[in-house]
Amino acid sequence: MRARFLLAKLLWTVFVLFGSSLLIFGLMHLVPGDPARAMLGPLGTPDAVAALREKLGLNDSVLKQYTTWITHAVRGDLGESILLNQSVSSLLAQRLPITLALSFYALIFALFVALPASVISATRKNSLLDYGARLTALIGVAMPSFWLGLMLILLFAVKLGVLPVFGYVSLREDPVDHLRHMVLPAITLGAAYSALIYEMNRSSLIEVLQQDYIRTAHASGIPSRLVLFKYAFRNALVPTITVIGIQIGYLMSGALLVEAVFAIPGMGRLLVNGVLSRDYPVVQGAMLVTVLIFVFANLAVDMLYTVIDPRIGRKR
Amino acid sequence: MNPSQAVLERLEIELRDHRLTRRNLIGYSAATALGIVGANAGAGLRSAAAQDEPQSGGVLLVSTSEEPFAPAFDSHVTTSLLTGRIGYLAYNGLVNVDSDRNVIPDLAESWENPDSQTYVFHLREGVTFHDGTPFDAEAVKFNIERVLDPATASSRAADFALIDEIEIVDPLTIRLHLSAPFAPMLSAFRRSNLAIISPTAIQNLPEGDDFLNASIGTGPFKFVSYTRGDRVVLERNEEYYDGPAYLDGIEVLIIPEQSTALAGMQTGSLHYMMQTNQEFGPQIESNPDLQLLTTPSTIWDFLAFNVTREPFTDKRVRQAFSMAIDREGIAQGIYKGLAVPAQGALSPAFGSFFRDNSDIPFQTYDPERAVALLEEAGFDFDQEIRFDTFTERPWGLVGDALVAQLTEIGVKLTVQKPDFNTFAAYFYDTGDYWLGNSSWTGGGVDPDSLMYKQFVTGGASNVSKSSNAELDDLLNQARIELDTETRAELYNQANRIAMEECYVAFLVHPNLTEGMRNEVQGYVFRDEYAGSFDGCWLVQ
Amino acid sequence: MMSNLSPLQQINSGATREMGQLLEVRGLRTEIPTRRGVVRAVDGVDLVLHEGEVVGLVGESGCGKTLTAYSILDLLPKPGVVAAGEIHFRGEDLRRKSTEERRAIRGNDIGMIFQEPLSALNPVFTVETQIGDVLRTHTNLDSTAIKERVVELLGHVGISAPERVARSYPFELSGGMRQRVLIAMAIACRPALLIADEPTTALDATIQAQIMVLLQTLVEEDGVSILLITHDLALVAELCDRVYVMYAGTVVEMAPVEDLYVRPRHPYTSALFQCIPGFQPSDRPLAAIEGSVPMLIDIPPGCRFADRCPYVADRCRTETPPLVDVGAGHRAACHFADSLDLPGPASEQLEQDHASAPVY
Ligand SMILES: Nc1ncnc2c1ncn2[C@@H]1O[C@H](COP(=O)(O)OP(=O)(O)O)[C@@H](O)[C@H]1O
Ligand code: SF4
Ligand SMILES: [Mg+2]
Repeated sequence: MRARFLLAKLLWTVFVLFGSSLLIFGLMHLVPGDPARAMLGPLGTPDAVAALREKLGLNDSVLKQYTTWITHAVRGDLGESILLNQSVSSLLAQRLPITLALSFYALIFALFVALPASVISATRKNSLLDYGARLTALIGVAMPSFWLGLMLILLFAVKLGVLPVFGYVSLREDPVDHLRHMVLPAITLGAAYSALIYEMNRSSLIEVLQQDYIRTAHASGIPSRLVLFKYAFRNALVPTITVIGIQIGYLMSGALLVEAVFAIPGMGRLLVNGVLSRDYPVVQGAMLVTVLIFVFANLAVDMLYTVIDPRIGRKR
Repeated sequence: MNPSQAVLERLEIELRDHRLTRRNLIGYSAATALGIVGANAGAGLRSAAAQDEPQSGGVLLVSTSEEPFAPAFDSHVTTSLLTGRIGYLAYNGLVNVDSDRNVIPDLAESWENPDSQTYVFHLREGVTFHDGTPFDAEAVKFNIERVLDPATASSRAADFALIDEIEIVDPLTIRLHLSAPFAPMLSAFRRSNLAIISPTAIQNLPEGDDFLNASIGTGPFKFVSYTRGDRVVLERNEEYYDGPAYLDGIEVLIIPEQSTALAGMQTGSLHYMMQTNQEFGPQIESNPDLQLLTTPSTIWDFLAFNVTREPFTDKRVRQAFSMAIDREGIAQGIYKGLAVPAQGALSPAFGSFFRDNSDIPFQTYDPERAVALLEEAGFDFDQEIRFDTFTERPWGLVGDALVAQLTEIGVKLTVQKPDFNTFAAYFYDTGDYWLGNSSWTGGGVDPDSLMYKQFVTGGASNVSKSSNAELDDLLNQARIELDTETRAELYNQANRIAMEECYVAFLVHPNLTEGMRNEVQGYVFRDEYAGSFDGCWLVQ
Repeated sequence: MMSNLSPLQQINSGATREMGQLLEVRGLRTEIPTRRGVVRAVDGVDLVLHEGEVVGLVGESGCGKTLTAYSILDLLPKPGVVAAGEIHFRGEDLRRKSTEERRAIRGNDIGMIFQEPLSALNPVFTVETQIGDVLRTHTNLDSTAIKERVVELLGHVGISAPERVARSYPFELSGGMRQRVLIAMAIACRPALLIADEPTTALDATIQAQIMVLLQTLVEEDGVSILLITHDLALVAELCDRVYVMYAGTVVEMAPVEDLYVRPRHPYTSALFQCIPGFQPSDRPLAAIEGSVPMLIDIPPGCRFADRCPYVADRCRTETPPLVDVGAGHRAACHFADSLDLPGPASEQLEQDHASAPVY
């Protein structure tokens, strides 16, 4: 039962990966501009552009280019970045962990803020505190992360001087400095995410708190704290986790901006640069990884469901 | 001044036509200019007031907003101003350009022209590349041949295309023969245009290996590492022919957002911002720890008309559109005053080449006359005209302003605003456009680079697709004319035709603008493409 | 083990029990502030329940039964409050106790079971966890002891495979099983009082009967007192010793069950009997009484039943009828309680119905 479910998921993943790679490839080649043009400039002599196109294999049909790419890709060879003169897999190996770390911290921050806030709001529905939290969340969602990032920099780095303005230090190099560099980016990336999680968890908690089983727990004399954090929270978490899963895409796309603002050499920037300069191999590789992350995030959410709610996956 | 230099003074300095590419487009505002105009210069470099003696030591932290262009750092290939500028730290040229736009010696101690088609360079003795390879005539020959080799796909090949013979006279003397006289020849050998790279390093570089391993020059700094997306690290070359630099090293940090870089500069985690957008000028000026370097440039922003398409086949329509534009408004509003309204292709920064042509009314704001002209031309105010611009700053902002101003006189526009690469595909490549804005930058040494290709019939930069025999004649004459006064006159005549015909609306000449911390000393604007950190030092 | 007594026999036996006072509610007034005004959902209710006694609280839906129970247990949903009255449990006024003390009483001294057995159990925890948590809250048992006790409790409420059920999630159990689980949870700490709020309304007839027998067993064997809240007079007849009839937040009649059945003294009680054709356990709501319960905001003086009462007189609209003695242990709040000869259900019908009821 479980095994078949997983196998189906795996096949689906392969299909999604293949389909999206085809889509991305097609789209990239439909957009005007190509890397030879990007490298030589709009006024590069026609000869030079043609020579470079030949060198880069851009004169082949899109289909042939795709087949070349995919046959290499399935063997784990994602090709060479046109712009960065480095293999895409080694670039991804450098950049992906950084983006994952950033997203992880952002997620931690988001949960750290959203969950307690949602509990406070849900248990004090329509109180001043609740209104305050909801307003903050509304602002959090509406605030462009670019702007928020700059404001945080101005406050914490420039004005107070307690955190660095930009850059990245790896965990292995210096764990403390690593975290110091990650604080502001993680907050910037996590803010809107946090607001979304907060809103969802608040409303689902409010709904759960009105359920009969909560009344039963109270009637049994279970202490309120236990009722809230054990009996209500777990039930409320199911829709919240859906939001967390679906919005993982938000984290990935948010990372594009946040990495630019904080000059973090992550995958988001790799992708943006790749798109702007039509660095096809990089875009293909980075998108492939992004799709994989999506698929796995959804898979993880599916698994989490079954852990949190025993009804899911058994009754269906 | 030796005799050969005296002869060469007569030669007009011609520069390679540096194109506006995606890369140097983003980087253009960083291109450094000749001479320092420090906003805080009068007040002195505050932190330095106590000491004027250069100090050794320290690592200068410099920001760039773009990823270096592959293969980094092959300065023969790159079209990126910024990538070239990083290469400039490690490479020398045969000649250099000083703050007054004069050609001065670099790896060539002197040179002479036995005739107008022959160049003899006498090379500096005892110079070695960072890998120990001796610098000599062979190395120069190798570099010229590499640029000319189609396999290199060098954008600079055209600058050297007239060289038909390279002769090594002796290890320190090289003689070049040209198939025809070519005024911009000497300046093509400047440090920012033809980097001299170690031949052994390039020859020994395995196929597909990181070009960083061959990025070996003779310059004051040498490459240590380049972490993509993060930073380029350079250290002092202790053997530098002109004496070791004061700085222990330079780290070029890749910071895409200038706002972030500015914040970094305020906290001291960054010393210098290459290519500062003019919009940050006021902020830098008002900060006591920072200073703003800004100087007029020869760059021109333009609004191009496709003269082969209705309604821009009619000169009056072009003139009217041009007169609808408030150039002062753009200079103040978008460039925060760090730009001057443009009359024509030649900026006042060109010095002796600049002429006041304000008697021509068509490149000046006059909305009433614009409307009158349109009416006279029977212009159909109901037609929708496509306007192309692109998102990158400041062009996108200039585009927005142009749209607003043209709408003001009753013109209806459909705006298309993708990223530059997409825009370039139809604006430059296929020419499928009616109306669009962009900029030209030409290195700031020779007018040829800012007029020839832009206005000659079929010119590679002639986005308007204009064809004017008189203009062609003038531009071709000016290319081989050696007398400065005569050339200036020829260019002025050409310029007046371009202004009158309104193939483009000349908008503004933005200043070259850079921000830095007060402790940075000894920086010199030398060349519109690469300012010099050679004599730079840090107050500690 | 299962009692086969007829309702009347039970009532008789109940009447002979030794009766100490377990719960005494005096002048209970429960209010719910709303946008349209303060709803007086419970307005001056007096209620007494003796040890070992089963007391019915009946009335149409919305008359304030549940809120009365919630008021006793301090379970009122916000913003509801007890505005006045005393609630004595084992002689102590619960209203003077702290929130924490009252919580400790719930589940330990007073258990409660609810109408909707599926939704009343938490879907994401096993039966063992949920009953176990009640034990953990009120006792010092260690985890093995708790496990054993849970299985024992499940067996006690008539579940045949208690180990398996203990490990089950609610969705894996039938409605009747769930109600048994809820009862097990409610009696886990051997409470003296069990408040059962419509415990069988959501169940089908067979299961309903089984649950009633279970409750009866608890009374018989464990000596539990029950406050049985229901709109179903048939259940009252089966199980209760005494009955309180509520209407619009007030008690309108109170009597030993047989007195009530033989001769109701309040027109509302009579109407309740009239609109049930027989006494089969039934889900049918009492919709047959003309009109509906008045809004409990800004209640005018007079009898609250006046608008629906077939015997209404002018006096009824101006003068609030007090709850007065009309017989031994029998009280009614009607101006004409003594003079009216109201129809109750015929005794024969009562007997007859029970002859056809399931045999337990
Ligand atoms: N949350 C609430 N807000 C307003 N009124 C309420 C609320 N809950 C209950 N009531 C009122 O209290 C009355 C009694 O409710 P309840 O005790 O649940 O009735 P019963 O249990 O007898 O069906 C209802 O008629 C209703 O009008
Ligand atoms: S007091 Fe009047 S209205 Fe009320 S129940 Fe008695 S007769 Fe009916
Ligand atoms: Mg109820």
